[in-house]
Amino acid sequence: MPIQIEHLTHIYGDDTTLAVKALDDINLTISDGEFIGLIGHTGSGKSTLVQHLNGLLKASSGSILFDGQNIYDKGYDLKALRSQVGLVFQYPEHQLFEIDVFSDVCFGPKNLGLSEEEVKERATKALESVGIPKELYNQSPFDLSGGQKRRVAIAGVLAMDPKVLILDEPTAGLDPQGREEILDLIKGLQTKSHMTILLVSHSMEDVAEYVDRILVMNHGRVVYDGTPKEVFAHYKELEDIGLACPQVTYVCHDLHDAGFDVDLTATTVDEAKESILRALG
Amino acid sequence: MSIVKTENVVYEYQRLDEEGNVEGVTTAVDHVSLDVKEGSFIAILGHNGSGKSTLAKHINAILSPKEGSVWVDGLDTAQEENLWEVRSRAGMVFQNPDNQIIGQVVEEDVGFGPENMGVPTKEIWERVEESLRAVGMYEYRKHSPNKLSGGQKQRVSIAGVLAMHPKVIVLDEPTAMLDPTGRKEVIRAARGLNQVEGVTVILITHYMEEIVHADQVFVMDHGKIAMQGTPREIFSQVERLKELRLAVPQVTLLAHELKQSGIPLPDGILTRKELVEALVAYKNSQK
Repeated sequence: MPIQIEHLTHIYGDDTTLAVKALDDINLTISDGEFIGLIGHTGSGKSTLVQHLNGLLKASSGSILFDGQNIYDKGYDLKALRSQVGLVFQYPEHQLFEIDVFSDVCFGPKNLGLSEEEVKERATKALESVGIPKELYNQSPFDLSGGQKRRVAIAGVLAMDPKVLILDEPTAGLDPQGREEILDLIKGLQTKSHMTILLVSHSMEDVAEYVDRILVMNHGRVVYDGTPKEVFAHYKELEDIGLACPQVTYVCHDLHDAGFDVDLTATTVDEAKESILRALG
Repeated sequence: MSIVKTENVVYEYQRLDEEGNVEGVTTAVDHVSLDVKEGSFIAILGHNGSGKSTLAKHINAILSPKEGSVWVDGLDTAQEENLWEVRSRAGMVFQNPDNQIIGQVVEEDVGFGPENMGVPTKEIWERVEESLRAVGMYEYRKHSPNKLSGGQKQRVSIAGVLAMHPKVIVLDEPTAMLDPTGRKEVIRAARGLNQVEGVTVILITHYMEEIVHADQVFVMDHGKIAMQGTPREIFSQVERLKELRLAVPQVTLLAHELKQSGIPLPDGILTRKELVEALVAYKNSQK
């Protein structure tokens, strides 16, 4: 289910005096099973871009090919697209509403018109995959902890059985261990369930640790596209556009300046550790 | 002198069933006693649900303790007649800037607090100017808040509190929704208030890097204070923090891992500079 984005441009308030170009000629290919991190400062166009991928926003010009088919073609089934591209918004737990956890997760698949049995099967599978134990199924979602609520909300999207999962800052407001649990869970969806993952994040450390490819956005354009090592090599330029490098990358640069023969492309604690140990002999 | 003092504070949330009967009780704050010195920079850490925010809401009397007492600048927050005074001396900034900004223009938003306190118009303008300057947002005074970045909005929120001339500001996860630059701007503004204006700052956060400069750190767990000390004392205990669902700054973790691999480094390294200096010293000693 590859996604090809061609010359995608989005202008908010087009034809008015307040027109703002939020996306400016984006060209990208997202292949099956990739784990991509999307970074950029507030207002760089990240959220606008991801809302195009399941047809919530319509481009001012350009096209999106999903499995080779242009989603802007006449008669294209956008409803089917939305069940294949799952979008987890920021603070998704604000969207929980049902009387218990299980009914909440059932809501999506029920609306797909599946049989009751299949709905239940999907909800159970989704809740299992996010690690919510059976004892909580009948509890009100509002009695859960912050991290649990968020996992239930993600399960609601997973129950739609998407091929592509987009998450907009899924770890915002969680404690360090909660962040790690959610990210491990997402990584598992890629490796075990072979989903394509697009993660919008403000944490350079998390992105460096988890993703295979990073897209950096600035002023509605993709300015860097590469592996964490390739992208974080541009640390000075990243700072100019309101971003940063993982802390350990800075440490390696400092050590290098102090005469250590360390690897300047280290982006995780493990890589930095190995490199420093080698440099010390 | 102590500016915020709590003594054996207990706060419980009650769960009600459909008929309104008490179904269960969650003790969110469990006998917490702490003493914050005027002019200090305090950090409160703790996992989600540990009771940090509930405790914070006691400091400007949004909540009143079920047991125990809270004093702000010597005023007992449980006394109804102290409410206004307590709230003008202890200001609060929350996570989501969009929920706290009400004005159409930045300077109007910042003036809202003092206006409601009945401050004379001329003085309101003076306060607005000095507050916006203190957080580095004076050039944006005529802008519309909804055109600002997250970090800028959050600094406007801080200016809005500052204009009420509080003695203490509580920031409850002010950077959770911000990008790296926004986070840096807000933390810099908070440190500026503390060092330049002498305002006591209480910062609640999940980002360990933000508190390495704090004077004192309290770590909460199950409504109780589980650890307290300087950042260096707290971050020396990597394993204990992990048990409490927390972490240490990435630099501290790297130093800890290097130490585990046999490099003799001091405990509780907090900054890039410290780590680099310690490694250089070690390398020179090997020659």
